[in-house]
Amino acid sequence: MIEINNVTMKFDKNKGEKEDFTALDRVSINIPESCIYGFLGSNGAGKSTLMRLMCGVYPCTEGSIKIDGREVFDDPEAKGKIFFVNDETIQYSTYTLKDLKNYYKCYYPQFSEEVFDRLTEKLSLPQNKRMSQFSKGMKRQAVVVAALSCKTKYIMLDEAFDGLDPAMRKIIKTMIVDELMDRDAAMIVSSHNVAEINELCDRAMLIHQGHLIFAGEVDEIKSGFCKLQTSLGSRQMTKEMAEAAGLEVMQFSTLGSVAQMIVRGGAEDCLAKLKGLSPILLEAVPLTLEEIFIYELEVRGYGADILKEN
Amino acid sequence: MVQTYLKKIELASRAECRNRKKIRLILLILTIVGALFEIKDYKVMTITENAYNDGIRFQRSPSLEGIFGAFLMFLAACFGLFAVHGVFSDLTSKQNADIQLSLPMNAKERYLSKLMAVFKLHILPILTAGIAVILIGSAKEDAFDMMGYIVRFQLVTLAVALFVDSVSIFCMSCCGAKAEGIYTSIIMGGCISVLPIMFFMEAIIGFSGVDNTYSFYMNPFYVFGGSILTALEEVGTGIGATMPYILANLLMSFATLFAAYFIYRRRDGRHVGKPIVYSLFLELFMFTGLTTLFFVFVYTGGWSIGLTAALIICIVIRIILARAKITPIKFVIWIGKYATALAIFIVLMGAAYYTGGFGYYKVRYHMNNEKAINIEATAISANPSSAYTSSETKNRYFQRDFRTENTTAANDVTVPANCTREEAKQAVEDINDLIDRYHNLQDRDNESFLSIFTDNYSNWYYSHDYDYYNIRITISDLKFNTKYTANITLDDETEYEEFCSELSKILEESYTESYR
Repeated sequence: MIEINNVTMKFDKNKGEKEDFTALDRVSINIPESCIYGFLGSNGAGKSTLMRLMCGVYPCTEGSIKIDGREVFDDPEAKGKIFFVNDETIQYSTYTLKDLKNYYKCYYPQFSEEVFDRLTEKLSLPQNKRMSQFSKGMKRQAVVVAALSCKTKYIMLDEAFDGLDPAMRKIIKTMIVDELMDRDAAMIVSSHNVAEINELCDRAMLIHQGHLIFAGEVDEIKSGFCKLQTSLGSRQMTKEMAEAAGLEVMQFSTLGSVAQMIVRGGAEDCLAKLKGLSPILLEAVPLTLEEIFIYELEVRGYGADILKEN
Repeated sequence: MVQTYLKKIELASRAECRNRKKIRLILLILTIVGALFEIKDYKVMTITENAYNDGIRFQRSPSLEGIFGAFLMFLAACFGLFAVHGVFSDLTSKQNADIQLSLPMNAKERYLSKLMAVFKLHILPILTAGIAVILIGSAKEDAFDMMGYIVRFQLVTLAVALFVDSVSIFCMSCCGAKAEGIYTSIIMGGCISVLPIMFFMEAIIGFSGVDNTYSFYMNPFYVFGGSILTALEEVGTGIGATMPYILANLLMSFATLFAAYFIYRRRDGRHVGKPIVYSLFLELFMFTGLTTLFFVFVYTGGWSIGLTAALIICIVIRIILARAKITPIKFVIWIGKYATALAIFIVLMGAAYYTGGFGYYKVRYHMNNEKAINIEATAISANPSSAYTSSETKNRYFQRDFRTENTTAANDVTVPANCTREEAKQAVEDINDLIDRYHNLQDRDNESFLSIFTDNYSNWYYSHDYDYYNIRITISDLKFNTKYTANITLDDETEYEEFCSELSKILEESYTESYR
């Protein structure tokens, strides 16, 4: 299990700035084994910083990150259980696939040449061509193949699927899931594509401006929000009335006499609270993770200024 | 356990090396071609006889091929900068830092594996080429002394390669951007190579008036980086004379690598991208660079141009390094730091001036096991009119050979001993007493001190003023190898006459140089 306990990460202030930049502020989550965990967040939210902390690239300013009980920073044993694929592939430009294999083989004793050869063959990746001559998708595939071949307990993919066409995304995702399932490994993936996380992950967390907003199982998260449509007939439903009924309203809009609202809480629970207003129409529509993402960030004013200007 | 640890380091270094194919190829070409030219040189090495009393003296001078070979080896040694830059890319590239810092290694293992990678990429080819040159050279030449020369030549190349690597690793560890890593390494390396010898020659020898280093390559400050020149110098002393300095060079390189480890250990992904990670390093870098420039300009005499040029260079580097907005306050701070460096330099020079090279002016020559020595003294009046027209004050020349045993000249003529060992020793001590009486710090004044920043400072102990008399005492062996010199400047004619009178009691006055 990866235990992220009260982690704060501050970067030294740049010249001209008065205070250090806080990239993460007291973030705590646990990532269990054998799961696919999605990191969601706006641009600059702190997802990549958290990933770098989890694989020992940065030390925590405060708090701790433990992999199977061992502090990860500067600990070879803990780092041996994790493989980090960052959002760039330029560092591998001069490598051929053979070089890539030999490189990681030197660092990970459990590296599987069989897995590497099988997957590169399956994906028809050229063995002796430099990776600078690969397409973006091919580069990604190659690095993911290397990550899977290292046979680490945890694999972290930072925006690994961005820029890939849908067919390629599906191929890579299937490949990863198949390999991970075979050996009970966990994958931590960050992406802006919420639908993808929704589809791929069994757990997720949302982070915004360094603060953790929620974390847990995807189904549990989704069941914690619902979209309600209601009409009171001749009376106009208002946000205040909904809040007075005990709902935590995140977004409210009306179309004629029909009011639509996004509320925090389970559907059955919310419906029961509104029944007291004797609505003539009352239904709950399930929310997608993407909608939750948008509404949660809207509540925190993300993008509000830009929307106002437009 | 230890075996597993070493295997881990070795495997990691292998991974680093594999991905530096271009650097490896360039280094192999340079070292192989360089070694071939050096090997060829030994075939045409000239051996000349220049004997006087100790039998045959060898003089060796690399031929054009040899110099070209040495140049290629020197280039290979300097190419270590790029090898270090490639291997330590985790310090300056965010992408590489992400990969390398997340690998299952701690900072110590990472550093050791990178050191080993640099050794394999850079040092090993130079070492192998050096061993090949030594083995082939030994097969061609039978003289033991010759082997000493060959070994010394290869050790110097190795010392320079280690110097380049250690300084580059140190500078790279303090920088977070590629450009800064490279140019600070080049500038620091250059400054460190010349600064000690400039300090010694200008602040110690220059202000003391005495010199017992008698040969440039024997200078104790001539270490760390600059010693490649010693190998190119035409000398016949084999390995012994320069070995301590080569060893000192190697030790200083290892010490630098050791210091760099503690800096590297403190580095993590947060520092990547910052031009200079540690502000202390920036100030050290600027101070080293400026001090070197100040020494150069004091020596060349273009002090006003030098000060301006140094200020411009200093500000340009600061502007490059300041990736944020430049404000007038920052400019003032930069100029303040420049002024501080200048003030420290002036204080240092002042201290050296008023203490006669930090007390070095008291250094005297004492006879040890020499069979024969020559003492000569040249007294020159700075006033050309008095030197040539006045019968009272004129240029005078004194010299005497002290041979304690029979010696053999080049034409096999035996030159008989002319004194006992005690007599020779006494003559040296009499000369020392004379120097003690006339060579002191009483002539130091502020005006003279300030003149080092306005006049040409090539020879502090030679006054061109009309009323001054310059006396130079030289002690050498009979092979013209200077062991000691003392320069004395007198401004009183009576004193000058007294001095010459004393000299004439120890040495013989003549108007022509003697044949030895």
